[in-house]
Amino acid sequence: MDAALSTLVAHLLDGDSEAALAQARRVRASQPDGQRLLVEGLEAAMDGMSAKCTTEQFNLLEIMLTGRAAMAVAREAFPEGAIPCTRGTVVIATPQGDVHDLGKNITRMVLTTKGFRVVDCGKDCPVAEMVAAAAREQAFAVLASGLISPVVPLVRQLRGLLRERGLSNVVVVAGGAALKQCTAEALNVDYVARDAFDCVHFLEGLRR
Amino acid sequence: MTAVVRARCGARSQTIQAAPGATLRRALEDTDLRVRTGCNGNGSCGLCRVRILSGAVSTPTSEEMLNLGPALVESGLRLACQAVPVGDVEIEVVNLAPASAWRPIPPEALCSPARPEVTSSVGSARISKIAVDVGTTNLCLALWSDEGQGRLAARRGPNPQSGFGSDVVTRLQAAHDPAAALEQAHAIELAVAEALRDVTVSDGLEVAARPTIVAVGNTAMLSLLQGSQGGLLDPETWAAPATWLSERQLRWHLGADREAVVHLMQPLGGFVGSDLITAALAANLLPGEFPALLLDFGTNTEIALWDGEILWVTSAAGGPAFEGSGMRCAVPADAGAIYRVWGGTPLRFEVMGGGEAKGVCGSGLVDWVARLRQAGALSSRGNLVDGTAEGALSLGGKGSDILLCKRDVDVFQRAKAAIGAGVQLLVRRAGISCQDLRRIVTTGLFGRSLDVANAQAIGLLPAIAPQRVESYDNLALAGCEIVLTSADGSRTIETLRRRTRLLNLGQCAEFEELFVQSLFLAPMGVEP
Ligand code: B12
Ligand code: FES
Repeated sequence: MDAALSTLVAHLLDGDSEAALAQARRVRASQPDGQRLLVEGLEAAMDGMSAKCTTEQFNLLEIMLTGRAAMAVAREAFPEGAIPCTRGTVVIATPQGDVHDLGKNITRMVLTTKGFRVVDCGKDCPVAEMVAAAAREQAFAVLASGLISPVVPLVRQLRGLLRERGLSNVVVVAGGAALKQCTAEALNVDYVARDAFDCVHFLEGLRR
Repeated sequence: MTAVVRARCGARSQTIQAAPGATLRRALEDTDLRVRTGCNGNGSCGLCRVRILSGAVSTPTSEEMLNLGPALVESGLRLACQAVPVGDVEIEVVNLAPASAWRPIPPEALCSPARPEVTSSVGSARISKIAVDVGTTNLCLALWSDEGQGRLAARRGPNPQSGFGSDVVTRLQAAHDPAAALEQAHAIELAVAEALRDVTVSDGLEVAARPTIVAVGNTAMLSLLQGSQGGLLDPETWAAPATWLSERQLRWHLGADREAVVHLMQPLGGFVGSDLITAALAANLLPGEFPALLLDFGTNTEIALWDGEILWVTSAAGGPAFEGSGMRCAVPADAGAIYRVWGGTPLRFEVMGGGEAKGVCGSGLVDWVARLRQAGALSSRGNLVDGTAEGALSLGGKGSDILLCKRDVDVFQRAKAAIGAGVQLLVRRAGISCQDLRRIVTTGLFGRSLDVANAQAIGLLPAIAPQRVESYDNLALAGCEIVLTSADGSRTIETLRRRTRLLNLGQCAEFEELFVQSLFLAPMGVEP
């Protein structure tokens, strides 16, 4: 990899937003194909973070710092908010009754920097609203984040509600501390993601 | 085929026939070698540890790998709620449930700024007034006479509802079933009766036929006492002021023909209970110097800030890390717990009860993390600079089971961060900064063992002059006693209530930013 790009990746993995931003500007100014390089840099950083998360080398603080730095670079690279979304649209929310949204926000950041268009329906969100958003935005996946166990029965309803709208082809993915203790069958979903990266791998597999 | 389980703990041993497929926890349930549990055996609390001495058990579950880690599992340590004997086995119970559930609370543990003197009396008298603090983990009672002898006894024991789950959400969810809701309410009534029996047997006290009880607790506990989950799982309910739970009276049968009238003190709203308001009373928050911060530490830490006009309150669900769950090395603050850590290399420590160390309790964890930070062995981000083979640091020398790895520190950081974010949001709402605080009062799970300087160094408490920080064991119960025994108490409570403003962290946009900042193991509010 290009040395300037390796430095950017290192700053991103360090969670150092300022240094990463400065380096991103340098890359863009000094290289003819700066834009493409930035996308590569972000992807490489996300892959690095994914590897560290799998081996439990990254704690919550490091995940959040890297996620934020990556978002800052993405916004810098694509100022008008037009982060390229070549990988399709997904809907994400924390279902009704649950106000924990840190995990959902991390997942949104990771998916965004990985090239997905993420429609965020927020927290404490009725499942019907998640399904309506999937229809409106032509999403290919609905993602639910749950930190407290009472959301389990709501997540179970998602597939049925999608089917009622003729959206049986939309996949449902669950994640978050309370949901990842359950199996996909128990939750009536297509996949239960260990973390945001596991979800990316699953979604990428679908698109292939 | 039944398996024979030979269990031992210290000098005690017992042989049990385990039913086919039964876990070790189940097998031990009816013996006096019961294991501790905090999750009704779903494998999430990690408390029910046993050591397999001989024979075979089922392969380790993912919960066991998560809570114990490969090294401990390899060494024979297992979770009793997960392991099922495959043939006859011999085991050692590592984490035993206490035999007598009720322990006396020493008089000095109920001293408070509002009542600094010890009001206990000895000799025979009749108990006619009872203050009860219904905590998620423990029940605490103060027993008073009518005839001016003051407090006759005090007791602390486990909340029997823990069989329905160690956290309030699991219990509230169980209470969807009306029978289970009533059972949880009844469990408290029975526990109080049991505590009274313990007092009559061991202290020779008599109990009046119609005692009066004042009970305080967190919102979920008060709701469950009425045999209902009170819509508490719905954010719309808990985001509103607690008008849904009016001042309620219950009747409890406390053995023989004894019946008590129970006054449930109304919570402040959201997940902020009436335990915080009695703690504020006992802390002398209103007449004292302000701005003053009060923290009642627990799985759900309740926080109040008195700015001279408004009593800002909130609750921060940091989780049970400080209470001995979720971290491999953590144990509750009971005999065998390391509660103080000091010195450099090697680190030195103090064990409750003086015996062999079983693990580290909340105050010990705060010390340990702070010492590691100071020694440069732990970074402010929570990275262990040079750990052992498994990337873990140990306390207690070579071969010690008491290990701290990055994942444990992460759990600790999350608990601390929820509290840190809560404190900083209250301070912001009041329009002041942490440095403006004239007084900090702490109570709850760390009791008087919290080392203030260490807590400040890692950002669990705002860094103001240490002499402005006071720690008490149980201000919630101390305040409840004041309400029970003086009319002034009730009047102050009404004033506090009128001045209260509830802040819901789930609705604060700045929560995430402050949470990330508070994840750092560094002084509060200082950008690392
Ligand atoms: C922060 C926090 C809060 C904050 C939330 C603020 C916010 N904006 O999110 C506040 C203070 C408001 C709060 C409130 C409450 N909380 Co709270 N809270 C926590 C805490 C400390 C951290 C949770 C967290 O954010 N973790 C970090 C995230 C990032 O981790 P994660 O979800 O595992 O996410 C990772 C992956 O799973 C993945 N991921 C997450 N979602 C998704 C989704 C998809 C699709 C994918 C692919 C991946 C993915 O991405 C992340 C990175 O890999 C925990 C305790 C703890 N130590 O964990 C308690 C905890 C979750 N809370 C708890 C409780 C009980 C509550 C309350 C009910 C209060 C109370 N009385 O105790 C309230 C109200 C909750 C409600 N109705 O929603 C309990 C839940 C217990 C249970 N059995 O369900 C916990 C476990 C604490 C405890 N043991 O008591 N809480
Ligand atoms: S009882 Fe076994 S882990 Fe909780």
